[in-house]
Amino acid sequence: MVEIKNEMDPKDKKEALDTDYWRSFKELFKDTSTIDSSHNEFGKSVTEDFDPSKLKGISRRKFIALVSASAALAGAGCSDYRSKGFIVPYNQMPEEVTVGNPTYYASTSTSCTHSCGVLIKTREGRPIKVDGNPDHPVSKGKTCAKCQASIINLYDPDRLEFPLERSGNEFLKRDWKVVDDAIISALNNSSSKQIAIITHTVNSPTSKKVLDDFVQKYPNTKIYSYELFNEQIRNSAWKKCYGTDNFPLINWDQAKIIVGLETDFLGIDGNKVETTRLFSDGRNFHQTDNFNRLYIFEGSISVTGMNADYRIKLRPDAQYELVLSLLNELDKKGISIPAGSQAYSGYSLDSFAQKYSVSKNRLNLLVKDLIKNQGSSLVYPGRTLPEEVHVAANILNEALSNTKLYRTDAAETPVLSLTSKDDIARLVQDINSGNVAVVIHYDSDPVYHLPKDFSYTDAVKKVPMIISMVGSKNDSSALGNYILPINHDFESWGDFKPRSGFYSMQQPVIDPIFDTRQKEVILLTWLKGKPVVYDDQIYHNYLKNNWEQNIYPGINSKMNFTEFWNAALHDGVVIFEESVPSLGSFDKSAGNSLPKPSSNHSGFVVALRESYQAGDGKFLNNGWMLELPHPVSKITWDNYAAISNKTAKSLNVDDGDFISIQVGNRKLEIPAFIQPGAADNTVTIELGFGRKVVGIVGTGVGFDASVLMSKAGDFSPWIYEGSNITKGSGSYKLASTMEHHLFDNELTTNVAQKRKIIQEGTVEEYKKDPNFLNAPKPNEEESLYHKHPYPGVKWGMVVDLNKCIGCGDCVIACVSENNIPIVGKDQVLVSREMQWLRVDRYYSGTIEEPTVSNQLMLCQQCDNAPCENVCPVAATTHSPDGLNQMIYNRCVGTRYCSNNCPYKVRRFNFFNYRDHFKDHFQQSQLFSLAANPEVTVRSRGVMEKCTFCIQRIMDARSLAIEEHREFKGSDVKTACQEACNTNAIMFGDENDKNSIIHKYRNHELAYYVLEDLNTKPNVTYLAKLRNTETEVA
Amino acid sequence: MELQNIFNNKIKRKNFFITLGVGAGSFLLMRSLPFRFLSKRFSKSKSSSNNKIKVRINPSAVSRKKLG
Repeated sequence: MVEIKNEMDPKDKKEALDTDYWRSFKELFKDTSTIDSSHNEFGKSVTEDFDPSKLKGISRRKFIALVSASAALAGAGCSDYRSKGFIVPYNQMPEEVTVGNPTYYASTSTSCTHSCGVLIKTREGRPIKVDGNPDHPVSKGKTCAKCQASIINLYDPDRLEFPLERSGNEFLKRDWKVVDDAIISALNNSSSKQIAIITHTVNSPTSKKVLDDFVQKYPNTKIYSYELFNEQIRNSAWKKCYGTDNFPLINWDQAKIIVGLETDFLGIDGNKVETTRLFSDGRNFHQTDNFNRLYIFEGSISVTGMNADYRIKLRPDAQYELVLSLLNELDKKGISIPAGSQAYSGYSLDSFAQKYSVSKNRLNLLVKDLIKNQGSSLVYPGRTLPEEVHVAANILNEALSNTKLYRTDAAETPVLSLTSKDDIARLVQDINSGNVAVVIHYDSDPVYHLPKDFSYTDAVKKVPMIISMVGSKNDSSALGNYILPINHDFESWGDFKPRSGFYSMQQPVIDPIFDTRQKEVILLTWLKGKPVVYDDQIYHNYLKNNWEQNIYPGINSKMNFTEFWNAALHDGVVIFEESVPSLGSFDKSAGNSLPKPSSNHSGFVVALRESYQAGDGKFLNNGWMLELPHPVSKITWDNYAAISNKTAKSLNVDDGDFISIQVGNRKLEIPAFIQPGAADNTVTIELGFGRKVVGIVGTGVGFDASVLMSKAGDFSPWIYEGSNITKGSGSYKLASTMEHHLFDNELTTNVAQKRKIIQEGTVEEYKKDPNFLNAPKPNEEESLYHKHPYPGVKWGMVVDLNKCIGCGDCVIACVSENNIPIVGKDQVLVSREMQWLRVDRYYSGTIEEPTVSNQLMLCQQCDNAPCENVCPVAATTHSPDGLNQMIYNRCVGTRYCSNNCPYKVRRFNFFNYRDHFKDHFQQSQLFSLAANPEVTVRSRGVMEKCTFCIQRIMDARSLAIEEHREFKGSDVKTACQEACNTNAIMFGDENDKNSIIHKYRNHELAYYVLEDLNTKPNVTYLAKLRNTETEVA
Repeated sequence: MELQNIFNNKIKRKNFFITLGVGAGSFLLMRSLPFRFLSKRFSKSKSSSNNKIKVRINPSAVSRKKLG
């Protein structure tokens, strides 16, 4: 256990602010075990258990006996050879398939509610990779990590394969016809009692039509739509202020000052794919005059907080007081506030700064910035904050004319509004009073998601017929009479209209793998009132007819319908002209009903957030997502309660110690994690973990913090004041990667500063002197290394740290592209995670108010590669185009290369992880379908690392040869580059004088990590510029 | 004397062939025994339809090039 200093000496603090970069408390406080681990990257390894001295006493007879037994067992073991099957040519070759070449299909992902357009790569009929659809007006060729990881939900080992019917305490396999008969009979017999369909967000007009048709057939049906996290509060506040239904879309790229209040718009709030792209467009070092400035006030560090120029820790229940104080200050400075002053007159920034220990200088700077940038600044509260904060922020934005940033050319167009909590309460009441005959969980899990004090779980058990349509079992399906397996997105038809002006099309890129049906088809079957002969074209035809009759005529296309339909499926998107509802005009009376903020902030406040990894629980059986290090804490395979150092001290807890949280009569025991920069007396927990009914990957992963939620939600459904926190009993191991793969430095800690791994400055400095960084450029001096000639293309990568937000989307893209295995929590605990890319997160400054720097770290493909010299079998060699190649079949696993790699980017297969982890599901025929056939699947004893996606390079080279054209660096996009929403990753030919790579390698902001070792890396980092001003004390 | 010891310790021809026969028999038995039926891996795949997956392309879907 590390002794945590509670308060640093002011002198130390100043020095720390200036010099230190640290990844964890252990590193900051020079913990000897951490320093030791940086010298011994493999930690406790398999070979250390082997002690040759134990063999001394062995006799010849025993030796021969052992050898014979081994040979016999090996012989027996070899008899277990599993046939890999036969490769059989097509009898009838599908027109679009060329064996060995990928086929792409445009479709739509429903991993979240934003319905992003995707391009799915298939090989011989099986989807293997998801990228963004470049023609989609919102995602524009990009995707998030969850969308990419959704491919293994298709190959989930726990996917349901056939319908199930409850028989006592177990579920038995049934035919669809038997199930349909029973359910149709129940629907017909429901008479006047309610049929409740509980669904998530419905963005599809045709899916909504199916629901409408169902309601028409069974008029006693009611539809309930919910989301664990939603924008209902923001929208209702907007309606109060502007009279229209939905909060508008924002031109984030035009905002010069952004003030985020307990929001993570770069992480989990809103449409991350679009927002991060637009935000990073405003962080262009070529346009320093338009460089945006981000202020974040938050309780615990989020991805957005990591990227803030000014991050101010603030407990979530103090946000309202902050906005009122800002209104008062602006009023005093002569800004006309479109609301009565009675709401904010008693709140000044001075007293706010004093009360919450916030730097007054920063608040003054914020006010100055807001006034100076009227019309191009934005105050944006998070979706978990209560309505009054949103109303007050709307007033503030209106006062500053920031409404100019709201988009008038596009708007969100919900197809089906979310149900209010009162309606959910009424449903429970109806169930309890016996008025509900059938409940259909329409790809939803209300038992897990709804606040427990709705008592939905107890109530639903009283319903005579409960049907769950799900991909795999969940907490709600476990209570059902029937569990009906539904198609994955990639096996489904659909149309989505998340916004005005376009439709996003969904088409099945593979026929259903199992005996599953699309959920709309199931309803359509029941609509007939009798079981029909199933045809997998039912919904396809329904969708097509709906388009031909209702949607196509309104599009005004010049094509006939068949051409139009094929073009729509080809492009994946239909763009058309549509009028956008007006924003409405501001109602000055909106501020009249603003309540007084609670003055009692004495207790703890609990803030619940959506998980970066598990989402709302949908991804809890997805190993790629669970093993993706949390962008801030770097913890994998768990959620935790993030608390500040001071709070930890007051509770006498350390990392991993259980704390007991009580909110009203609701309790939770969860391990604590000391998060630098967290607000005191604030506990932040991510939801989405701890599902009781989940597959083998997600079983026992994390803690279900939704037990703390209440339907009353006095402050907000996700924030609870006045909570009671005590130290619990015992502790728990959290698998964090933050101290893994540390740069070795035998002399001191603070390696990042002394070895110039992180180099950064301010916009101000850069404007004054573009060469302020003065970073050493590649050393051309003579060295012992043989100089490689690079006559043709020479590959290089540039990472723009101004744009990288540290989200980790690139990590999942790399995992998906390169067949990287899931290793499991036990292996992550001993530093054996296999991801080729990692995002190193460094803190600098103090524990209380740290500044965060992210750095993408991958194989630097050094010209003078230390790994190449030490390989005794030449398994890692240098290519003529500048790559450090790995020849897996040659590798004998000495690990010398990894030992000699200063960047610690090589990964060793200590086991055959496909076989080692969770009942070897990664070796099953189903999961193997996700593998990229262009990339060798590695086994035990083999070293691996980033190859700059060599398979993509070879593909592009072949294509150029086939097309008789010159092969260019711009022909290749690496998987990480393709996924990066902010375009922080660039890749290309260093030898091409016109390429962006060549240009940036010689840029004044360019630097190379560990350049002093003369490794001549080919990954260039562009130093981060912070848009901060020199503060005057 | 040394030669005498060798003769004393020498394995009998009959014993030698018995040992060899049992060894070879055991080896063949081990090879032919269906150990895989006992393995966890086989039992899992046997109980699931994962080992008879057929991948079929949906004929109504429209493919495209990567860039529109």
